[in-house]
This record gives sequence, structure tokens and C-alpha cells, in this order.
Amino acid sequence: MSKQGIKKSFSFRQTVSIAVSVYIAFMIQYVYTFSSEYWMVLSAFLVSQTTCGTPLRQGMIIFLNMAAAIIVSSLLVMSVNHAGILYFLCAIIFMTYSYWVFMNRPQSSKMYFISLLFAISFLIASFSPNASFDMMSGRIFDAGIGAFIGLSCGTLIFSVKWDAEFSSGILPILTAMHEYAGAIVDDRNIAEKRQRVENALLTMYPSWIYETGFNRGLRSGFRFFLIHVERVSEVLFSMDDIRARGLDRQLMRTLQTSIENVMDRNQELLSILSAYFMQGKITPTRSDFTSDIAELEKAVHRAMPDNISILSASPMFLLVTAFVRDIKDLRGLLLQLVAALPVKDGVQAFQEIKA
Amino acid sequence: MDLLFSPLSIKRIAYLALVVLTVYAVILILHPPQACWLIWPAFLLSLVLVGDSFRRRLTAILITGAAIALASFAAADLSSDPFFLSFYLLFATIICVAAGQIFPAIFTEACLVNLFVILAGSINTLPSKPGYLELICIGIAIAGLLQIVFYPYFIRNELKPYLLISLRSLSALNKEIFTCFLDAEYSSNLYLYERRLHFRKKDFLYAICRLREITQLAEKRLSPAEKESHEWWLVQLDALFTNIMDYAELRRRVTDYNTFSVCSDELRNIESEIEECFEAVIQHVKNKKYIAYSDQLNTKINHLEDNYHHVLEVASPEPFAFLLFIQSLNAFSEKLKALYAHDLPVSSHLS
Repeated sequence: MSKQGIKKSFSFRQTVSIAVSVYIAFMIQYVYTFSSEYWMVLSAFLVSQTTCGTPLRQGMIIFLNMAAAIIVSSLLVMSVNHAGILYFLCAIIFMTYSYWVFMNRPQSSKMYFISLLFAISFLIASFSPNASFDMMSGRIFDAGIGAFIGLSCGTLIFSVKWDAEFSSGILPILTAMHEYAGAIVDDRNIAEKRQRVENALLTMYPSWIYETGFNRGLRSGFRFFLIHVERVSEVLFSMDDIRARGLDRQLMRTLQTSIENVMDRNQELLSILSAYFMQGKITPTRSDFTSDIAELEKAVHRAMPDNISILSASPMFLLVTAFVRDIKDLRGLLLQLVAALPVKDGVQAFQEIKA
Repeated sequence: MDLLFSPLSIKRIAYLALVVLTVYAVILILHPPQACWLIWPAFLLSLVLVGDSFRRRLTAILITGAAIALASFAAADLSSDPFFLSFYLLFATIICVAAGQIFPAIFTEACLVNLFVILAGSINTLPSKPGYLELICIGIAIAGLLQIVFYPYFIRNELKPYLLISLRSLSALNKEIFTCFLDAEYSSNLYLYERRLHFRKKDFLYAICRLREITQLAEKRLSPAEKESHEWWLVQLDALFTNIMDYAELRRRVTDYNTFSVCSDELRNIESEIEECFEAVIQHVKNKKYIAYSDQLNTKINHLEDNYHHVLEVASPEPFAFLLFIQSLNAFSEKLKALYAHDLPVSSHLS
């Protein structure tokens, strides 16, 4: 990744903002603290463990989790006098909670940690050497100040650029889909390319756009794009499935040239999308995206009956028709995506492509 | 519920209970003035789940533990000088957060180290600081040594739950897709339904990804028959997923959602039969008695086909989409039937 790319990435921004918030919280805690403990720094660190979609909302939820953990632990410390019983009670609560989180697998390591925040805060609050009921308000005040510092740093230091984050998430998915589309046509390395698409959807997909409370002005545009990208992946999976069921070789040989032509244009559209998210501009093209589809339809009509009743009686014809339908659906979806690309000066993407 | 009584879950409960009891026993023996430095590392390191084999898991715990001990020692040592401590805290946080961002698989472990830096950095605010490093080391040793509970059949115990989770995720994904067909609000709340679908897909992809990792690791030491069996299950799960994606196309191809009301009973029956089929496959994986439901599923698909010939072909603006849907469901039924016929992977004593 280039220097510019690193600076733009959410990971870099988050690393810097968390480190600065921890530093500021430590300095303030050194000057004054209500509880004489580490809650300010701890809170500044924990509330910053958010995604880029809704950091304020998530930070508030984490703080409330911490406050709840402090209150529960203080009440336990107040009501149970025997040290052994208190130890086992706190240990059982912590272990039960952590076991419940374990049962909710599979989840990413980050999600696992965030799910455990209540248990971790509870553990620290319960077994701290100074734990007592009188400390409760001081701890909550400290945690509140820490949360304020963490959230302020997260918002003010290198504030998130959603378009850049979206592009960096969507680009690997488009690249993987481009390769997968090529592999399906060539009938080579399909499993490997499918796994690449699956991995990209799993790790790079900007799911933060689906978070409750995400910027209302931006979310409809982002969501339109996300849903269409996901549908493109579904069509590719569907094509893979149909191909694996065994397409008639003779029939496919007849249609091969037309199918390859259409898939080449489809891959070109995927390249246009990738180039847009990489460079921020539309790549002009000379291809028209209608004649190849018309040619494919003609080839299909020549090779197979177009009567739906005859088609339904012949699984062989039906399977090839399903494959062709997927190819046409893929074209439709990609054209919708390209048409929706925002271009400067209000010029729509299509106009720019045609020019 | 089936995962609650799996060997892995039972071992997990036993491990957590042993950690609690051992830490308490050590506290009773040593009477440390600050037991928190024993409890925190032991309890927090018991949360470490990274590592696909016993050796890797143990290595992960020991490396995290060593990092915790070193980072805490340095933080506590610097705690008398707030100037140096603040910079130490700053750089330690940068390293830990960056490690978690660059290697997402060790995010939890990196955060645990960072937590200890913060806790140990505030050691001067605590009454006294004798022997905290020894206590941390004992805590790490407890969390690490008790992992022995997981040693027998580590890989088999990890593989089977993920096979079950994958099947459950597919069943949930199928249910969500049929909800899109059957819920009249789908067209007006498109984003909501698509979001749910996305998360169901993600659940499956997580499970299959993890299953693939564990299988690849195990394959190095498996016999050809075992290897073939494991690969067969992976291929079949992938095929089921792509098949589900194939028939899910119907929700996009149908433009008039009122068409679904014409065949809602048939769709509902197919959905419940598919669910029963998945349940039966899960029972098969668990080596329990089951009734193969694929014949009933075929019957329900035939009912939809009858409906197609009598009603949908005429009433639907896109009859062809339904024809493709029926064809895809038939292929799905065949794939499910193949799962019953295949025995489970025989697992060696691999850890």
C-alpha cells in the first residue's frame, strides 16, 4: 500500500486515534481521578474499539456496558462479605458470560472481543484490590470521562472518509469477482476463485453500512451499491452451480463464442467498476453492451427451442437456458451499477462511457 | 442445543471450571496481597481461541502470556515516572492496535496485552506492588497447562461443531430466502431483508472458512480415505451454498411480488421440508437416528410443479423464472440426498 493509502486507511486512523486518546486519558488521570484507578484510560481504550460506520453509537453502547459491569460488581462486593463466595460468584458470572460468547461462534476475533467487553470490565472491576461499593460512582465518572476522550479523539483525529473506506472494501470484492467470472467461462481454477470471492465477501465487505444509525444521507446510495454487488456475486455462484450440474457439451460448443463475447463485456464492466474505485474516474470504452446480448439470444434460438413447454420437458435445454439467463442477469446488474456511479459535474457514467 | 452437549463444549466448561478452581487453590496456598494479578491473566488467557491445533493454541496462549508479562513488567517499572510511562503507553498502544488491525485473527490477543499495559501502568495507584510478576506468570501457567483438557481429539472436536454450524447456517440462510418470497413486505423493505440475508451468508462463510482451515491442517497427517472424506464434505457444503444462491435468484427475477401469493402454500411446505432435511443431515452427522426427508421434499416440489403447470405458467408475468426455480430445487434435493448416503469422516486421534 502506498504512503497515501496507509494514511487514508481506517486501520491507520484508528491506531493513531486510540493511541492519542489513551495518552490524553492517562495525562488527565495523572492530574485528577475520581476513583484513583485506571478506569479513565481503560474506558478511552475500550470505547474506541468500534467500526467506522457508527463509532459514536457503538462507543456509547460500550460505555454503558462498562458502567453496567461496574454497577453489578459493586453491588456484589457490597452484598457478599465472604471473600471465597464473592470469588466464586464473580468467577461464575465471568465464565458463564464468556462461555455464552464462545457458543455464538463463528465470529471474527474483533467481534469476539467486543462481545466480551462486559465480562472483561466486570472481571477487572470485581477483582481490583480497591473494589468496594463506595468506589462505584468514582469509577463510573472516570469511565465517563475516558469515554468522552475516546469518542472525541475518534471523531476529531483523522475523521473517517466513508467514500474511501467503501472503495477500499469494495475493490477486492470486484477484483475477486472479475477473476471468478473468467474462471467460470474458462472452466479452470473455479474452486480457488470462488474461495477468493468468499474470502473477500467475508473480510472486506463494508458491512458497517448496514449498521443501525449510519448516516441517513449516505446510506441509501451505499446500500444500493452493496446489494447490487452482492447480487452479482449470487449470479456468479449460481452460474458456478449450473456449470457443476453438467452442461451439455455439444450445446455449449455451439454457444461458446457468443457466451465468451458476452462474458468478456461483463468482465469489462467489472474492470470499469474496479478502475472507478481505484482511480475515481470512468474508463472510456468502445464496446456497446447490447449487440453481444442480441447475438447470444440469436444463437440460443438457433440451437434450442424457445417454447417454454418444450424447454420444461428437456432438462438439458433448461440447464443451458438457466446458464444463459444468469449471464444476461449479470449484464443487467453490472449495467445498473455502472449507471449509478457518481461522476463529477453531474455527468452520468453512461454518458461518459459512450463519449 | 446440539452444540451445548458436544465434546468441545463440555471440555470448554470443564476447562473454565478447572481454571477457576486452580486459581482459587493457588490463592489459598499463597495468600497473595494482590490476587488480581493472578486472577486477571489466568481468566483472560482462558478466553484465547486462536489456533487450529493443540500446539498452535498452546503457543498462542504462551506468546500472549509472555507479551502480557513483559509489557506489564515494563509498565509497572516505569510507573514511578509518569513522563516515560505516558510515552510507553502511547507506543505500546500503537503496537498492539496496529498488530490487531494488520492481523485480524489475533485482535483479541493484542487487545488483552494492551489491557495489561494499561492496568500495570496504574500500579502506583494501588496499595503495594510485591510479586505481581510472579503472580502473572502463575496465571499464564494455569491457563496454559489446563489446555491439556483439549488435547485428546482436538481437531476432531473442532471439526464436527463447525460442520454442524455450517449446516445450521445453510438452513438459516434457506429460511431467510423463503421469507423474502413469502413476506409481502419484502419489496417495500428490501434493504432490511437483504441485510438479514447478508448476515446469514456471512455466518455460513465464516463457518466454512474455519472448517476449511482446520481440514487443511488435519489433512497433512490423514490417511487418503479420511482426506477424501473431509474434502467430500467441504465440496458438498460449497455445492449446497451455490445451489441455494441459484434458487435465491427467484426473488430478483420476479417483478410482481403478488405472484408469490399464488403458490405461497407450496413454498411454505418446501421451506419446512428443506428445514427437516437439514435437521436430518445434522442428526446423521451426529451419528444419531434420523428419518431421511428427501422423498417428502420431492413430493412438495412436485406440488409446486403442478401449481406451475396449472396456475403460474398462465398467471405469472415471469413463468420462466419459476421453471428455473423448480429445476434448481430438484438439484438441491438430489444434493441433500447424497449427504445421507455418505458416511462421516473417520477422524484419527489428531491434536
